[in-house]
Amino acid sequence: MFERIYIEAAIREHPRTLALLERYPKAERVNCERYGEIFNPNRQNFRIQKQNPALILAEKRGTRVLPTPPDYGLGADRHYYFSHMLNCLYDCRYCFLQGMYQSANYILFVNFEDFRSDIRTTAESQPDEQHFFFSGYDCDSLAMDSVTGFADAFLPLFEDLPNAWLELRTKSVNVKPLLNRPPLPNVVVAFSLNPEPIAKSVEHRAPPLPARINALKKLSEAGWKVGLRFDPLIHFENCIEVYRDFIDHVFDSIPIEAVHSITLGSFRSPKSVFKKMESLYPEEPLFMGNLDLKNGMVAYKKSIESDLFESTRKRILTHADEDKFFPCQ
Amino acid sequence: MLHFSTALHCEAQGIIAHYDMKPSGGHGRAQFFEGEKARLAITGVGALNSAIATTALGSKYPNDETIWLNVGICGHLDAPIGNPFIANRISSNTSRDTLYPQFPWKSNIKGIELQTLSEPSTDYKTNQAFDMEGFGFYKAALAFASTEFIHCIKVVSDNAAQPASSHFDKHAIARMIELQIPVIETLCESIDELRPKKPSSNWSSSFIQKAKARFRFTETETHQLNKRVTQLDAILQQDEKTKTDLLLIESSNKKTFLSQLQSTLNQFSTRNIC
Ligand code: SF4
Repeated sequence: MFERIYIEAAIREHPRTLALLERYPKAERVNCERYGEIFNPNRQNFRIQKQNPALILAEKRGTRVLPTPPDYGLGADRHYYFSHMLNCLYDCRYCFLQGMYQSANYILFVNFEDFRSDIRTTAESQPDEQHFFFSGYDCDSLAMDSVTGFADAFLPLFEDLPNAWLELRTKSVNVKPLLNRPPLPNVVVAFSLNPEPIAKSVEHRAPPLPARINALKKLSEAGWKVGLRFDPLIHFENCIEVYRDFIDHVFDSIPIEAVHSITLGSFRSPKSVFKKMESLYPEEPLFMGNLDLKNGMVAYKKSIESDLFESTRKRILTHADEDKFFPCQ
Repeated sequence: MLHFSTALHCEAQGIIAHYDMKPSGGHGRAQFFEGEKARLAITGVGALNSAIATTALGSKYPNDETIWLNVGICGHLDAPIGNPFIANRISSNTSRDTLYPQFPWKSNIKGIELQTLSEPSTDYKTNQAFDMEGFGFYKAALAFASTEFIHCIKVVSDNAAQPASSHFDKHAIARMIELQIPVIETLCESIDELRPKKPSSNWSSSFIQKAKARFRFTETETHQLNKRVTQLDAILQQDEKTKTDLLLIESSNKKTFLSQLQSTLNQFSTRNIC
């Protein structure tokens, strides 16, 4: 799977490093001092590297658990995010990672134990409050689980942290690690969903929509709480009708009792990230039209954005109660 | 286009012959050669000479679709003489920087850590090759290409069992490099395959030319024109391009013209997203 694995000096002897190296004996090994030496230099081409990324094994130092921006929450007292990986197996054309990072190589922070201990300390510091931890901000939580063992390493922590919630944000249908264990009441498996034409043409390498819906079904049947993330809304020909039918289809496929939360978000990107995505993919129609720059953010023109957002919002609310719905505009 | 750099003439001669290159001037003591598919600089020994000649070659022939290769000999503790390596980590005894060439393909050449030294040495180290140019070449070539397109290919000329001596067997070195040309060619093909195809046709260049003949654009407007026409080229059908040609005649001024191009993009990009 990996032609090359870079290994940071500090974690050369870490048990997770050793296990991964044993698992990929044919991968060429390259030592480095800090992952930034490989990941951060300017003269790299994300698009080209994305064709066959290398794996970088590193240690996450400094702050591992960060508060989310104020308008990004699911109703808990406090919301945080953490990233055990940077970059993703999939290649969604709208993904901000391609505009944010110089390199498409995967970074895996192998010191899971430090993440766990930070999460525990954070949750236990205010035991009377509900803390929500989002994973999958800089990666897909489950797409590379067979490599990282992330689910098995983090789910037991939430078993004995009753005031902490975990969101696994994913497009992956690799849900076996979840189905193999009893569901946890404080874990939400949240799927990012878009209509099939968008999944096909924009969410490259990600599982097709029917497979994602099937995974959602299986999880809800097994008693897991699921999340529906309609984000980002993409504008295309007849999109209002297509999104309407798509929303109906999703809610017809999944029992509403299993749905913990629904979010809705428009396509938005900081100007610098957008510029980089556009220069990487000059032939990509997604970046060509109906966009405006406002306050440093590139987004659809106001009328286009609000028409699509409003019609989709209304459609969602024909299926779900408002208390489960967290629009983000 | 391939841009080779070698320190010595004997390292270059097989490559020059293979790509049918002819002398094409030089820079200081560096000599340049040029053929249809490749150019080469014989830089002289040392990282600084290599960096200077590489910069001069890149400045003389600006081209953003070039593959840069430093080909030469190296020392290694125990690899057999004649063995080729490709550098996956490049350091220098005169710099604190370390460089990591990126290979998003399955390489046909074994990777190695390359250390560039300022003096010849027989102090061979485990899992490391050393040379005298790689680091200087690489740093300089980064001004012209991204790291996926710059590589150092080194062929073992000496090891602990047969250490380097002051006497170079130029014929043996020439032969060693020559033998690696098929490997280098395969490597270049793999690198070239990675390059995204440019979405532009004759239509866009001729349309831009006509537009420039009709209106006088500022620098910002020229940038907008190039970008919008290139984008339209990627998404329009031939008959739609013919219709777009009419915008040039119909638009009374350049502002209207540029905004018509954007409206066309707004209309057709929506159709092409999925
Ligand atoms: S699945 Fe998420 S993280 Fe992965 S490429 Fe798509 S948007 Fe980016």
